[in-house]
Amino acid sequence: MLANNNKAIINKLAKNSVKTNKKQYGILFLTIILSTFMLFCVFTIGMTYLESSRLQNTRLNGAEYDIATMNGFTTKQLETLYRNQDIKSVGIESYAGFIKSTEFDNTVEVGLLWCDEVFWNHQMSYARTKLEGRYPENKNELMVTKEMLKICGNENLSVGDSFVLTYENNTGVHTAEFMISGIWDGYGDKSVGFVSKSFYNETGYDLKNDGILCIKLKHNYVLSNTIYSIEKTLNFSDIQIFAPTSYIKNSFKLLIGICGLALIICLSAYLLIYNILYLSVSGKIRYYGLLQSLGMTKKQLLLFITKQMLWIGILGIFTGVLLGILSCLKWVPYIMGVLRISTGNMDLRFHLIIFIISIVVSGISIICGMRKPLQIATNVTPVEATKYKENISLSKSYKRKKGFFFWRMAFEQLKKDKKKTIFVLLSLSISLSVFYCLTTIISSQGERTVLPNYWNADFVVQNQTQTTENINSLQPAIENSFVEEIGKMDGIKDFHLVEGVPIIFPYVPNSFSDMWITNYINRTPHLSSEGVIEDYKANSSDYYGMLIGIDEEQFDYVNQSLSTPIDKQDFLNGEICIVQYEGSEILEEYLKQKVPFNLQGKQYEITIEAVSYETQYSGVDIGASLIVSQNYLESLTSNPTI
Amino acid sequence: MKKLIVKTENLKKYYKVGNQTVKALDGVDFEVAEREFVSIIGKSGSGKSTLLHMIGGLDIPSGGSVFVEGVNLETLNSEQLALFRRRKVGFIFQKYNLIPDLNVYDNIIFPLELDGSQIDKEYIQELLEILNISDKQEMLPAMLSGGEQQRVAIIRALATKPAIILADEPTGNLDTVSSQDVIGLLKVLSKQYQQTLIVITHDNDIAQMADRIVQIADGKIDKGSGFYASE
Repeated sequence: MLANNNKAIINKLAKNSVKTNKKQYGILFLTIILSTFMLFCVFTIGMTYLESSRLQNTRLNGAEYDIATMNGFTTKQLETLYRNQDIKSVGIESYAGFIKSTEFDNTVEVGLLWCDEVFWNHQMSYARTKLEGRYPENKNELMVTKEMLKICGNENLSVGDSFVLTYENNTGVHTAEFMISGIWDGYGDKSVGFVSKSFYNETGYDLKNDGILCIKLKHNYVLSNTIYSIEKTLNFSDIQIFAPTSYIKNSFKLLIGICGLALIICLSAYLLIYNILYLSVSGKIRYYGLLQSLGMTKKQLLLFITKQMLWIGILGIFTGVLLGILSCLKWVPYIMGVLRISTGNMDLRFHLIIFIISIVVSGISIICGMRKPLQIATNVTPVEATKYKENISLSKSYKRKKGFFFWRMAFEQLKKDKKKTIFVLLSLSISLSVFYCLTTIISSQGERTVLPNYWNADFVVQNQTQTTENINSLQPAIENSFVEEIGKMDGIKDFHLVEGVPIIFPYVPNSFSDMWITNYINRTPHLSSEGVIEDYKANSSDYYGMLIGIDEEQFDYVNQSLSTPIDKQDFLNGEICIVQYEGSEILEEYLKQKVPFNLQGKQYEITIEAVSYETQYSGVDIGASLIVSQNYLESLTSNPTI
Repeated sequence: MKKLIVKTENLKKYYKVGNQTVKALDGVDFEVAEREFVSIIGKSGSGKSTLLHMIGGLDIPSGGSVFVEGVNLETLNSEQLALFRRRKVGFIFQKYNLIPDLNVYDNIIFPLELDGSQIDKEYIQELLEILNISDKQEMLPAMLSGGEQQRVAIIRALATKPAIILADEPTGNLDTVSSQDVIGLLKVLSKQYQQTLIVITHDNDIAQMADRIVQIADGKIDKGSGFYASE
C-alpha cells in the first residue's frame, strides 16, 4: 500500500484544535511567553549588572585596572609584568607632593600625582567623562578638576589660566606659578592634580620607592591562582604592597555565582514549560488514539502535534522576547529608579547570546515536554491509547487505612505518578528559589544597603576639623545654635548627635594598646616597627583615639549590627563600650578586658565588650574609637565636641 | 463456496492487570465471508470488542493471526496498519468517538481527507439525508444528542466505502425504533455497496437481523452458536 499522507487535513485539524481549546492552549502559550520573558529579562539584567559592576569598579578606582602595587617597583619587576601573558596593560603613577596653599586659600591639602601615558590615555580614560586641554608637558603645568580648583579656592579658573601655589615634596616647600594645561571630569579622586614628567623628576620622589603600578588583566574573570602567580613572579620586598581590587579578587566567584543562578533560571524555565506541556499533551493521548483508529498514521500524528506546538512555541517565544525587550527598555529602568537601585546611569545592554539562550532554552523545553507523551501516543496501539490511563502504582492490592479520607485521597494522587510529582515539586521549589535569589540580589543593590548606612539617616553633617597629627585639632565647628536650627526645619523628623573627645591610650605591653599599634604597623610597612613603638611610648598623644558618645537609639542600631549584641543597660551605665575598627579582625583575647585611657589628664578604664566593623563613627585618628553612651561621656567631660 | 474476507486462526489476546493475566481472547477461530452480515453476541467482558479491534487492526494479538482479504495483519507495520484502517475498515465505536474539534461534515470526511482521496459529495449528502442530519453539518459534536452523534459516526464509517464495516454496539444509545432503522439501513447499504458488516450487539432483535449470529463467551467462540460461512 502506498501512503498518501495528506498534510492539508493536518493543518486544518491543528488549527481547529487550537481554536476549540483556547483556554488550554492559552495557558501553554502564556507559559512559554513567561518563561522566555523571564530568561530574557534575567539574563539581560544579569549581563548588565556584570558590566555595571565592572564599570563601578573602574569608576571607584578612577581608572580601569585590576591590581595596584605600591611603595615603588624595580625595572625588573616592570619587565616581568610586561612579559606576562595574562596582563593587558601596566600604567605607572607616582606621588609628586602636595599643595599646601594657593593664592586664594591657605588651608589647602591637595595631592599631586604624575602618571604615564598608558595610565592617562588608556586606563584612566574609562573613568573620564570630559577632558579639556592636554596632559601637562612642561614643568609648571597642571591637569586639574573643578573640584580641585574649588579646594584651591577658585573654581572659576579655566584652561590656560595660571595661579600661584605653594607645594611641598621631598625637596622641600616651594612656591611657583602654574598654568592649567587641562581640566578633566569623571570618576575617581578628583581632588588631586596631575603634573608633568619634568616636574616630577625634580620632586625628589622616584619610582623605585614611590611608584605605583596599575595592572589591567586581559580577562575580567580570573582565578585567584592567576593573581597569586602574578604576585609570586614579582618577588616583592616587605615594603612593597600588592593590592588586587576586590572586584578582581572575587570575579571568578561572581562569575560562578551568576552561572549557577543562570543555570537555575534555565532549569526553572525548562520545568515550567515541561510540566505544562507534558500535562497538556499527555491529557490528549486518548484523543491521539482516536485519530489513529480513524487511520491517522504515526507520522501524521507527529506532524499534527508538532505543528500545534510549533505555532504556539514560535509565537510564544517571539512574544516573550518582545515583552522582554519592552520591559528592559521601559519598565526595568523605571522600577530600578523607584527602588533607588539605579539613578539613571544604568544602560541595559542587549546581547545576541541572550536572544539565543532564551530561544534555545524555551525551544528545548518545548521539545522535551512533548517527547514523552508523544512516545506514549505513538508507541502504543490505537486501542491502548484510547484506553490510556496514567501510571498507577499498584504495589498493594488492598488498603486498610481508615479516617482522614480526603487527605488520604490527596496523598494517593501524589504517590500515583512519583516522577510527575517530583517534577512538579522540583519546579515549584526551583521557582521559589529563583524568586528569593533574585529579590535578595535586587534588594542588596539598594542604595541603603550598598552605601554606608549611618543608620538610615538621610543627611549627615560632619565636623571635619580634626587632623591625624594633632590631638587638639578638633574644633567645635557644629554649634548648639546650629543644631537647634536644624531641629526646627520643616521636614526634619528627627536628629541625633554624636559627640566626641580625643583620648590617649597609654602603652601597655601585651595588651589592647600593644595589639592596636601592632595592627597600625602592619598597615604601614614602610615604617619601622621598633621606631613606631618607641615613638608611641614617648609621644602617645600622636596616636590618640576618640571617645565617641551616642544616644540610646543609635546604640540600638549599632547593637543589632554586632555579631553578638551586648547588654544595653551596662552600655548606658558606662561599664562597657564598643570599639570601632576598620582593619582586620580583632582577636577574642583582646575583648572583654578593661582598657585604660587618658582623658584631659585623668586616667579611666572601661571594658571593651564588642567590636563594630562599621565605619560611621570613624575619624582620622590613628588610635581606637571607643563608642560609649552619651551619658557616660558627659559624666567624664563637660565639653564634648559635636 | 463464498470467498472469505476475514479469518482468524487461534487468535489470542491476553492483558496483564497487576499480577493477573486476563485472557480477553483465548484461541478464537473465526471466519466471515464477503458481503456477509454477522452479529456477535455475548456477555460483558466476553471478548466481543477485543475481537472486533483485532479484525480492525486497532490492537495487536498476543498470539494467532488475523487475515483480512488474505493479508495477515501481523505482517503490516504501524504505517501500513493505519492505511489499512483508513481504507479498508469503517469502524463505528460504541461511544461514537467523534473528533470534538471538527464539525459534522469534517468528521465524516476526515478519513478521506487523511488519505487525500476524492470526496464523493453526493454520496455523503445522500447519507446525511438518509440519516436525517443534513441540517446539522456545520455543528460541532458537542451540540448534538447521543443519537445524532451515533448517526454521524455511522456516516463516517460508510463514507470511505470500506470493504468491512465493524460496528461495536452501534445502537447502544438509540431507542428501539431508531436502532432497528439504523441496523436496517446498515444492512441495506452494505448490500448495496457490497460491504461486509460485523455488528456487536446485546440486543437479540438486532442480532436476528444478521445473516449469521456468533456467540462468544470467555474469550472463545461458542461453536454451537452459528454456522461458519465455509459450510
